[in-house]
Amino acid sequence: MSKWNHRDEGKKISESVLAGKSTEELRNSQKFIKSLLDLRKSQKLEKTYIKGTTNAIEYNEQPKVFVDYRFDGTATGRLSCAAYSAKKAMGVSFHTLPRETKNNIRSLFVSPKGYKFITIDYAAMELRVLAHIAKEGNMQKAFNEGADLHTYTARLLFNKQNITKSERQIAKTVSFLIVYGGGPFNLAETTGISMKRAEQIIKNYQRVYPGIFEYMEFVNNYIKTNKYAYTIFGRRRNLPDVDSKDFKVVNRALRQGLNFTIQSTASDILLCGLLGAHRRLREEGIQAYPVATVHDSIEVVCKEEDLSKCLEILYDELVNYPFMKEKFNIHFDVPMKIDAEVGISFGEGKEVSFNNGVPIL
Amino acid sequence: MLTVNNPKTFDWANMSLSDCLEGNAADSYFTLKIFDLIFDKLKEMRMGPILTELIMPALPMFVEMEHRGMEVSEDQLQVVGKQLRHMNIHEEDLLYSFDEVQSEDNLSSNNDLIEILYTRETAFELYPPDRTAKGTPSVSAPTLKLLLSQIEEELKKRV
Repeated sequence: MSKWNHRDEGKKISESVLAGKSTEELRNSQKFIKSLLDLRKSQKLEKTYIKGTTNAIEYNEQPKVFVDYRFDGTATGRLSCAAYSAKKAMGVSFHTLPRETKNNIRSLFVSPKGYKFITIDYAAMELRVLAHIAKEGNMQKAFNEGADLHTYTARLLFNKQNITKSERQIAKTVSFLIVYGGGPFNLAETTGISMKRAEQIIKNYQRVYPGIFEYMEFVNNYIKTNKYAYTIFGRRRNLPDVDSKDFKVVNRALRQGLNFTIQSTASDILLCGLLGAHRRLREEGIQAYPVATVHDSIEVVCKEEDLSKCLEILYDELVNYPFMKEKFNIHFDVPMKIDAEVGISFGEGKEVSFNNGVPIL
Repeated sequence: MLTVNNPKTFDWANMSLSDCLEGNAADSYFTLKIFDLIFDKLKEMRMGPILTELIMPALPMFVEMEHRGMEVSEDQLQVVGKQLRHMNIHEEDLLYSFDEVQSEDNLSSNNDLIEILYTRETAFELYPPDRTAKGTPSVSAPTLKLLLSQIEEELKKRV
């Protein structure tokens, strides 16, 4: 029997054993497993970040951590980040820093005295990239109107105006699943809906956003013919596995290729924004400098007196992207949107809104 | 650095200046040689701009970021560390309060967890939905999450 059959068998037996338990026994087991998972999670946080940071600052002989950014750390061309290692770890990876926990681990990392900590995230970056490269009119319309994409998608998917939280969640899940090559089975597993309903939702999604499916078909055919995928920035990812005789290996290569065209583009957009901002901050003599970049966000520390000007530059470079237009002649069909927070640490910032690119502080 | 065999264990802090210079010179020399070899190929593949307009100009910025480092609040490190330690103690106490767990059980031991969850008659007596490559019942986080979802599914059916 194959490994996968063993797994299916194990799941089935487990389900039947659970069916034979009393409700009280099930609740007790549920409580135990939940607590065990919570304990493991917080033990890991303590080991990785509290002990890791304590050891690093002891080794560095100053309250600072140092990380190593790598351009070649991922197959997609995304930046990777790890603790700088010189005999002992000199830092912790920011890329695995938990975003939301009961204990705010991000708050350990702070701006120097007299400086503010700015965190800027690109909002729904990968879906904006997808809407642009797939030339998906409906999705582009949603972004151009400034609508909440997932509510907009849910309205089209379920053909009604008033959308519940769970319907919005389904719309959100299906958008990301499609991008990463998922299908009805994954949708049913993730959202807990029936397979039949999941199949219907995917069909509706195809009707609502046909451009995405046409793009997926284009990418798949391109990879099959050329054995690589490419991005609008000119990056390439070779995908020789597409010639495999094992259809699972072929499908994985196709998924990787599709994902690459989106994720790598998103990463390069961020890099362009960061580089453009870094140059402008220097040229204009603003006392601010980037301290980290984590996935779709950049972290900058800035002298309090330069905060407004710094935010203005960051907004311009990330939302209007002059650097990318100049160097790569890329103009997006959808607007870029950012969420900015200002505070004194990575984890504790107050949201800042902008009026025509000027921060309201 | 090309002149260093095992960079992870190498004592970078105590490297002599002459060794450092020799290593850097070797790195620069071979990087340039490789650059000459691959640059034309990259241009042919239309990958020139990504290298010259984005990656190369970004390198000094990242070098700056890496050198500058990120400040840590030692006070906050104490506060969050204390909170986490308390949380861990609380969670552990909670787990040991279950009748199915014995005081001599070690909750970090996979063998003890296998007993508690699956094999001990006086404990939970669940069935492992998955096994490790060696065939032993799995107590990994994904397996526990799967088990949890199965329990929740079963409870939902009974409402």
